[in-house]
Order: sequence, then C-alpha cells, then structure tokens
Amino acid sequence: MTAEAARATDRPVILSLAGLSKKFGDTSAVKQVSIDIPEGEFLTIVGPSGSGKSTLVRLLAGLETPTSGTLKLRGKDITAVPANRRPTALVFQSLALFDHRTVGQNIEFAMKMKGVPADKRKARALELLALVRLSDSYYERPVTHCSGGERQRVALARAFASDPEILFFDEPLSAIDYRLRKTLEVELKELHQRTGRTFVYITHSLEEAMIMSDRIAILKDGDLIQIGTPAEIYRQPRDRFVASFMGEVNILGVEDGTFPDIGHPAPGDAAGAYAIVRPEDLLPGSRDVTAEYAVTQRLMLGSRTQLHLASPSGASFVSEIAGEAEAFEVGTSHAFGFDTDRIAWVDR
Amino acid sequence: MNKERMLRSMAARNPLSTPMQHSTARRRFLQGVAAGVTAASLPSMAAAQSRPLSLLTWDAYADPNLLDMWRSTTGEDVRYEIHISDPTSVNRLRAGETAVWDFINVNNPWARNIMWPAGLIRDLPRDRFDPLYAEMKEKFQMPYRWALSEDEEHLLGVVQRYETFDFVVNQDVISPALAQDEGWDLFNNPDFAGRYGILAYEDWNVMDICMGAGVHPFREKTDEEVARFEETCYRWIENAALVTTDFVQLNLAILNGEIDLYFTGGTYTTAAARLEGVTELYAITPNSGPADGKGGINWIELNSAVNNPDPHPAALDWLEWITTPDAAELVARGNGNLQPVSQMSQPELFNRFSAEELAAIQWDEFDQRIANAVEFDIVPDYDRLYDIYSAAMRSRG
Amino acid sequence: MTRAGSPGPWFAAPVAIFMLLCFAGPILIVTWFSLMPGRTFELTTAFTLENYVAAISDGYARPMMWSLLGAAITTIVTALLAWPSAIILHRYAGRWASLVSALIALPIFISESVRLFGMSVFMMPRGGILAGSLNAAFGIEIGSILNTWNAALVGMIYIHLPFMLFPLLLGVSLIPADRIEAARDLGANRWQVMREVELPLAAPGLMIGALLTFVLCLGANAEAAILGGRAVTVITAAIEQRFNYAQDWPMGAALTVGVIAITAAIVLPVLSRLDLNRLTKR
Repeated sequence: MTAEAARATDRPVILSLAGLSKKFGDTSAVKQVSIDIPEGEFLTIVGPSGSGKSTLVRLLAGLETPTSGTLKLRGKDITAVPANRRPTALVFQSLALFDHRTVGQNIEFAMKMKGVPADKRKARALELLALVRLSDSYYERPVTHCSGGERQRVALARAFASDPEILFFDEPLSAIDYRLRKTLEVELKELHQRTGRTFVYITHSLEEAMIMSDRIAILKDGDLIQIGTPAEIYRQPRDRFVASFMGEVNILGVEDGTFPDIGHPAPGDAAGAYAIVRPEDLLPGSRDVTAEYAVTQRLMLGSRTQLHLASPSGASFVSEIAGEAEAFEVGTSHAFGFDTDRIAWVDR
Repeated sequence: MNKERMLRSMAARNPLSTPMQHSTARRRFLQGVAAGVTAASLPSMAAAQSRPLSLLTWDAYADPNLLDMWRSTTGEDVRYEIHISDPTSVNRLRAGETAVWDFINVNNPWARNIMWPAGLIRDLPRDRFDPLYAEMKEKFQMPYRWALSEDEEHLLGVVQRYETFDFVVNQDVISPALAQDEGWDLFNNPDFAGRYGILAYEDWNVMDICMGAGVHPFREKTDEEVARFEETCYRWIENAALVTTDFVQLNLAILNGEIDLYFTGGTYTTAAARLEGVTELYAITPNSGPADGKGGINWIELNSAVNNPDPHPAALDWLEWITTPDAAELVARGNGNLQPVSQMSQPELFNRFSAEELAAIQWDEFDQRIANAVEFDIVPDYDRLYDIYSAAMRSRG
Repeated sequence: MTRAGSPGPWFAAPVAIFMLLCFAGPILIVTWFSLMPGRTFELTTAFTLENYVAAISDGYARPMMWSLLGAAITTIVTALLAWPSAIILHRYAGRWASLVSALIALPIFISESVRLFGMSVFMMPRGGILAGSLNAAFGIEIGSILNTWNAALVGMIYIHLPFMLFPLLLGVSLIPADRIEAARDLGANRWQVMREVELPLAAPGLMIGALLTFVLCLGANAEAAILGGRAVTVITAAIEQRFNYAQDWPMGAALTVGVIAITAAIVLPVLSRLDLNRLTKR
C-alpha cells in the first residue's frame, strides 16, 4: 500500500482544494480544507456522520458552491463551474438512478446530453455493462427491475459513461448488506486499478477505507484532521479521535511520568500526552509495560479472541489474541503487557 | 365607481326568465315521471302534519322582513325556495312536488294555460278573493282573463307585481321620447349596430325580435313573417356588442359607454340602480308596434295555491295577507327588487312610496307603458322561431 | 382473488349499484333520449338518428370547435404558468409554500361567477380596475378585451389554474432532488434536466392536471357568458339552450352524447397511460 501511495504521489496533481469552506447559515459544515489529489489516486474521505464529508464531496462535484476557498482542476480554477460543466461524476448514496428509464438509457444519459449518436451510445453502454460485470441483456431492462447490487453497478457504469476525469462516491455501499458490500469493495478497487481514474470516495467506515484507498483523509466537525496512507493512519494517528475511529484501542494518559490507569511508570522517552496501544499489541505475558488485568468479557472472533480487561484501578482495556484463549476465563486475572515500540504517541 | 359598486351589489335573480311554450307531448312525459317519482320518493310527505307553509317563489317574496312579519302576525312558520325559472318550477310540481309546496307564483300565461289544466293549482274561493280585484286598477277588474280559467269559472290566483319589459336606453345618449317613438326600430338602425347588448332571457328575446321584424309575436306566423323574423334575428344578434344573462353587466356596459341600449329590459332591471342615482338608465316601452298597434309586452305575476293533497290550512290566509298594504309594500320592495304591485291603486299603499322610489320605477309613465303593451302570452310557432334564434346565436363568432 | 362464498362481492355491491344508478343510468337515459324524435318527451322504441344528423348539419360543429379550442388553449397556458409556479413553490418557498398554496386555493371556495364578475370589473374599459388604475396612475388610456373570446380565455385560465397547479405540485413533489442533481452532474443543462428528468417524473401530476383542466373547460360556460359576452357560443351553452328554452330534450341529449364521445376519445388514451401507482405508492 505504501508503495502504491508513493507511486500516486509521483503523478501530477489533478484536483487541488485550497482552504475550501462551506457555511450553512451560522454552522460551518466544511472548514478550510486543503488537499492535493494526484492523478490516479484512490482517496477516501472518512468521518462520522455530521463531519461534513458529504458536503465536501458535493462541493467537489459542483452541487454546492463553497463559501470561501478555491478548487482547481489541473491548475485551472473550477470553483464557479456548475456541476454539468465539470468533467467529474458522482455516484450518489441513493444512487439516484432514473427509475423511469431502462438500464441502457441510464448509462447513456451523459452521452445523450453531449449529443452522442444513438448507435455509438449503445456500443459504449454495452462496453460499460461488461466493465461492471453485467450482461448485455440488462440493456433493455427497466432499472426498477434490478436488484440492489445490479443497481450499484448500473450507477457505476452511468458515472463512467460521462468519461469523467475524477469519480466521486458518496457512501454508495452504505445501504448494502455485508457480503455484497465486501464483493463490491473489491470490485471497485479492481476497477480503479484497471481504469486508472482518480477516485474520491466518501465513507464513514474506516474498514472500507483501509481496504480500497491509496490515501485516507479524516474529517471531524468540518476539519481535516489527518491525511495519509492507510498504514500511516493506522500506525501514526494524529490524535485520540483518529486512533479510536480506527476501531477499539487502548488509550493511556500520562501523568507525572506514570500511566495512572495501570499504576506503571511511563517510558522515559514518552513523546506525547497519551499512549495509544492497539488491542493486538496488548498481549499476555511480560513486556516492556506489564500489569495485572482482570478479564471481564471474552468474545470469540473466529480465529481470534477479544478480551475485555479491567486494570486494578478499574480502567477498561481490550486485548486481541490468536486462538481460542481458553485459559482467559471471565473473572480470572492475568499479566498483560505491551512493548514501548508499539506505542503511538499523541498529544490530543 | 360608487355607481358600479352599487350596481354590483344588486345582482339579483331574475323573475322573468321564463321560457314560454307548451307541448302536450311534454305534458304526457312529465305526468309519467310525476307518477313514478311521487310513488317512489314522496309517500309519506303528503301525510306530514304541521309542516311550515312552503313557498316556491321569486326572491322578492323571500324578503326576511316579509316572512318575519308573517310569522309574528300569524304564528305560522314559513319556508321557501327561489325559482330558477317558471318552467323549472312548473316541472317540479309536475314531478310530484305538489305534495311539498303550498304557494307558487309564475308569469300570467302559466296558470291559465298549463298549471290549471294539469291540475297543479287549486282554484280560490271567489267570494273571498274576487273583492281583492275590486281594489285594483281598472285593467284587473273581473272578469280578468289571466286570473281565470278559460271557461271563466275558476279563479286561479291573485295578481300582484306587474310591469312592462322591453328595452333600456342611456337617456343621455338617446332621449326617452325619441326612443318611445322609434320603438324597436332603434335596433334596426345601422347607427346602433355594435352599440347595444342583449339580455339573454331568450323567450323574451324571441318576442322582441318579432316586434322588430314587424310581426305580432302572439299570432300564427306566415312563412313570409318567419323569413322576416329570421333576417332580423341574425342581424340583431350579429350586431349585438354583448349577450349576457346578467342585467347588472348590461347596466355597467351602459355606464361605461360600451353600449347605449339593450333589450330585453325594463324597470325590473333598472329600478334599483335608478334609486341609487344612476339616472342614465331609462326603461322604454315603445309607443307603437306590430302587436295590434302596440310594441310593448306586459308581464303579470299571478300568486296561486298549489294543489297540495294535504292543503296547508294557512295557504289561503297567506294569499290574502300578502295583498294587505303592509305586506304588499314589502313585496314591492322585496330584497331590493323595486317593482310596482297591483295594490298600488290603493292610496293607503301608494302613499308609502317616496318620490324617489316612484321616479326610480318611472311611475309617471306607468299607465302609459301598460297601455302601450300587450300582455305576455303564448308565442305560436315558438319552436320554429327559437330554432332560428339559437342558430343565429351559434353563428355569432 | 376472492374465494367462492367470500363476502367480497357483497361488500362491493352497494358501490357497484351506486355507480350503476348514478353513472351508467343517466348516460343510458341520455343516450336513449338522443335517439327519440325532436322535441318529444317520451322514451319509446321509435329510434331515429335525426338528432345526430342535425347535430352535424345545423352548425353545432362551430360551438364544439370553440369549446375544444378553448379547452386546449387553457390547458396549455395553465400548464405553462403552473409548471414554474409548482417548481418554485416546491423547491424554494419552504415554509411559505403552504401559505402561498392556501392563497391560490382560496378562490376555489368562492363561487365561480363571483370571481368572474370580479374579473369583468377588472377588465372593464375606462372605469374598470385595470383601465382606471392605469389611467389614474400613468395617464395611459387602454381599451378593453371584455366581451370578446380573448376575455373568455383569460377567465378560463384564471379559473382553472388551481386545477392544473395542485396536481402539478403533487407531480413535482414526486421528483427526488437527487435525480435532478444526478442529471446535472452527468452534464444536463437546465433545459435538459426539465425534459429528461423533471417532466417525465412529474408526468402523472401533469396529466391529471391537464385532464382536469381540459374536461372542466370543455364543460365551461360561465366564462364565455360573463366575460366573453357570448362573443362565441360554446357547446355547453348550445346544449343548455336545447334543453331549456328550446325544450328539445332529444336534440340536447344527442349533443350531450356527442360531447361525451369526443371527451372520451381524447381523455381515455391519456388516462390509460397514467400510472396511478406512481402517485399513490411513493
């Protein structure tokens, strides 16, 4: 992943956000967001609901105009260009398929708007159907007769049909069941690799972001908190919010050179006010920082087991270990520890 | 603008919109319907006791002051429905509503020619009601044709309101004396093409066009007369600036200078406006015309007792009571429709009208108008004439 | 799908009988009458087509033409006026929309002839509200269209606008905002968005509005009478004359049957294309 990201950053910037802000009345939905997106990158913007990520993608697609800031496409200012004249396409959360039309008509929409002749439109539509793994027979089918997954693919083909330089995705997989979502995530990733287009993907699921993205941007309350490769985000979260957003983590505050939650001295080289320790790094046995924990809950995760722990001072911790961990029955106490080089230090 | 507001406020129903013709075939049809409907829907109505006195009438008789006075004088309750036209109300009686109504008033030919032969109205006791006629103008003295059956045996009702109904001019443009002399030829005058309106009381229009064509409306027509009627009819309808069923609109059109005159019209359409000071409007009855030398037409409203199988005990009392000066005064002014009543020959009633009111109904000329008019009657060949009339209307525009 | 012996048909029976009596019955009687000899009042088996022959030969095509023309023009003009109004009301008016809608709906509860009379006062020359105000404020002297066919058309448009606007408002509310955005995003300009997305999606409302307006206008009489000064005779007026002053029920019935047939020929094809499910399911 790191290699891919590096390869992407070698490329020229296709879309440049500079101080992009959007206010609705008194509330700021997006605050001074600046990102340079290299051509061909798969960038995912992640944030909880209300973080302004949907507003941000609407700004990028031209469906909203920013209150301040500029947006440049290949160096050209497109801030004031309306959506229909931007060479970008958005896949909506609702998909927004034209239910009164067939699959073929949906896919051909952008070409029809440009005045492409019908026979060429059809040929391209059939190509696109193949691209999203739908057979030719779907061409004449009404959109309303398609299943959820098929509708996703039609929406994708419709977006591709406008031959966009950048594709935006506004949580298109959020309403789909888990297994289909996993399949489509992989397909989307493959599609990205095959087409080489720039993808900007919005989601609230960091897991989804991790699977697909070259880079991840994390948004909170309209602020861009951190941007980096998935590995960077995972290993070097900027703050406790980013760290906890990635999943369950253990956060230990440092006071007067100790971790008060476990009554253990903090390492001398503590590089921040909080130590972030991932559950898979808090393991049974003796490590650099070891303490006694009581098991309060044991959850089987298939090949792994998640243990909920309580320190003597009553603080909660999570550990994930391989196997079924039969020894760690609820109520028993054990020594757990982590190595200081596994700690990610944050100040906030 | 004041005048207009006033005119608008007096838009009222029309007691004269009375398609007038008779047809034995229709009578048979309606009798059939009446039998069926009565049997089906009104079995218990006739037996209903202590119902209010029920009037099928024009809105002058629905004046709340009049009805309140009746209630307080007699203690009898009263209810009413307002006519749409003479024939619709007569049709309702034919269809079985004789069991519903106690009182009906329509224009003069209906009682004698249709309602009495069809058994829809009762005759009145002559000893009680003949004396009322003695109190009226000379023209109503017994034996008065329209109050009696054809054999002159039966008294069919009491006449109350009556007036001529011919045309109306803007007297600032056309002097009344000239208009009375010229008569219906005013509408033949090419100078007034596009300067007059038509109040679409269509049976009256047919009679007026007869007059304009020099044809006696109430005589059998020759083919030559029909041809003259047709020519006049097409010309008059084509040359009309507007045709409407709303006389307030025509009065406004005169005030606005869109038109100078309209037919059919009379004090019925002008009195309320004149009373409010719109003296431009002037009702004209021609001095002469083709109907036995006369050019005007005179309607007479006849108040009759419906032949209800369960007669209301107060029905005859009501008929007599509305001729008393107090009640007749309210009828004459009823709901804003200022119109002469036959009882105005009695000084006691006459003296209650102000000079302005009398001026509004052009009372000084009233006797002359009546004298210059023939009485509203059945139009022979009506069907033929009406078909010409309606075809002319369709070809307009 | 009711099982034999189920109570379904019994529950439906009152409605079916009601429809039969109140809908099919009158049409049957009117049709029967139309086959009777002119100016008769009895339903016999002496059928004749003379009334229909007369309807064609006696100049009734002209009133029918005026009615059809008036209905068509009114439908088109009200649609053109109501479309932007509905879009604006739906999209921009926000909480004012209900107030504005109420103001538009309010006149429906006032008698049509009162409103038309108000219009005629408005249109009157010299003393009329329009001409008088222009004269008083700007010294402009204008004529009047009162008592012309154009005045009748203005009246029909004024009276029937709500019948177009409200179904259309319903139709416009069927357009999801994201479909419009998607079309914009895919390169459609405003005109293309309207043609490709808004119109097809609002079509059920538009069609209902058009049908209502067209059929109501075909039966409209008061506008031509009050504002038009009977400059032309519309078919309704011609029919009324036949029934009322002419006392020619069979001829009036024949004309009525003719109008019903023409109306059905125009309305039924449109109605068959109307997808009521779209209006009710969403």
